[in-house]
Amino acid sequence: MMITWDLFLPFAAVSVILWTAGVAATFCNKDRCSKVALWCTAIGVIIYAVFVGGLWLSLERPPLRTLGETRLWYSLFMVVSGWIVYLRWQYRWIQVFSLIVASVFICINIFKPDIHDQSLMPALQSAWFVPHVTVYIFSYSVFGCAFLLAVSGLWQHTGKYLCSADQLVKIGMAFLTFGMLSGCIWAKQAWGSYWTWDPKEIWAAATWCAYLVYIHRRTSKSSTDSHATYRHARMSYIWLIIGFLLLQMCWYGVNLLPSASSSMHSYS
Amino acid sequence: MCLWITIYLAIALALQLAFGNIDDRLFTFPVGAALGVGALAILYVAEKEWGKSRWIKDMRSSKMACLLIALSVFACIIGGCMSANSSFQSSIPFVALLVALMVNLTLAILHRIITRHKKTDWIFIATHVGIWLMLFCGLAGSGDNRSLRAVVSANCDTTSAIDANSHTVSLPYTLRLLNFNIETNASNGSPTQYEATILIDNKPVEIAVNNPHSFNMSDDLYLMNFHRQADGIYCVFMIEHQPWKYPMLTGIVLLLIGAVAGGVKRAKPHISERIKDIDNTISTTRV
Repeated sequence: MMITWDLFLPFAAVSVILWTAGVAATFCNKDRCSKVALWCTAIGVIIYAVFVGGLWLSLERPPLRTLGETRLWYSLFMVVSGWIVYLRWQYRWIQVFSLIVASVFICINIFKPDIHDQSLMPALQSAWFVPHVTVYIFSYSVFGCAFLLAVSGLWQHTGKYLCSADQLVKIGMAFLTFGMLSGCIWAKQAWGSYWTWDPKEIWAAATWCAYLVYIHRRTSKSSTDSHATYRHARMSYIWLIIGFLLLQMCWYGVNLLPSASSSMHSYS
Repeated sequence: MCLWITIYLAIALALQLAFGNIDDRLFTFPVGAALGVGALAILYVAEKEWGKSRWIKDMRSSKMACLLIALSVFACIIGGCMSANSSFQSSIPFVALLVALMVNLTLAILHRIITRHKKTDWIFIATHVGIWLMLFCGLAGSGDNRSLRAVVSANCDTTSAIDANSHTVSLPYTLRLLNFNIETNASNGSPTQYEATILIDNKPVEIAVNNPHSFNMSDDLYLMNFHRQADGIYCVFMIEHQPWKYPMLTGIVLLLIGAVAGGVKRAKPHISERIKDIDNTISTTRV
């Protein structure tokens, strides 16, 4: 049986139910990571990944071309990233929010699936296509978790999430940089230039620089100063939020701008 | 520090209003490279001789880096909202901002190397030198890049191409189309892949999208498009002359290695200590 978009609803519904059960199980078991929670989430991820893999086979190309397809990956990675953050730092609440974000993206794909035709234009037929897009989307999910920590830190007026945010930004930045630079090398191969200041590239540069500001703020002397106050933490959180908003602009917001029509990154 | 940056950018803005965007042909080799090397030498002397002065300390500080990168974010947001043909990347304030960033970056790298800073690690050097190389090639090398378009068919030899200003440029070789293959999507007829075999000075070469032909260290030939006419297929080729291609690639690879290594490197204990400090200070402030 071929897995097509028509089967997205049952696959997504089963996955979301399992993920919800997993989150509920972590809240029931307060002392340590529940095995039930782990299994529920893992099976949900596998079912969802089977759908993505099946779609890949039925489309005869990686499902990474349209916005709808990138949302598919994002919802998968968001759940995985939320779980990694939970396992590493024991923040139960982050799973709830990552599940909500993943579910919102799944719902968008159900109600507005965009186009899913089989064609893959010549420029996209490159060995760089899959690593470039998946790595980018994974970094988006990691920064999504950092964004949730920043909002929570601002809400609770505490700097205690900065340490976790540092780790997430470090990992996210490694993936984001890999995504951006692999894109540069691919662009040279396909279009003749590493960087052309295309609208998408400008927003990608803005996003990268925003997280770079965060890293420099966190490694500067003032952040190690024992007199550093919540004001420093607040500004760092604000930069995480700015970075995440710019990331949304780079991902799909740029398509709403008039300049998008001339972008070389318009595939959907 | 903020005041000086404001004055610097205000001057750049005034120059922009007076003269418009920078013409990158002004920096054609050897001018761009000479300016770059000259600036590097001046910064080396400045760091070596006056490295402990307040000015130089401020110019290479993390605080300055934060300010300049934050301004770059702001500039990119403005550029991202502008129309695609506004060429904001050639505007004087943006170029001035990148130059200031390069000065900060250069001084930070030189300081680490000259003083054999205790915090110096290869990840810092790889990422910063990588970014430095990319910026240097982008700024100093911008005037040396040239892009030509040539229409090639099987009917006759092509001996000239058109540059960005629609001027005809003679090619030092001849091009002729030998064969053209196209694969289309069965459902909508759109091309999924196309490739051409052309004769370059009577030597056959296969070129496809994502698979350019390299003439030498700086020139590459790309298959960009094709047109069907009554008398056959006409392929559009792009000839890219980028002498800074490999230095730029070196910068990309260095940054890539540094970023990935930085991502997998374990955090130093003092980071968590910092958070405890912050939390302690917050609790003290609240009390």
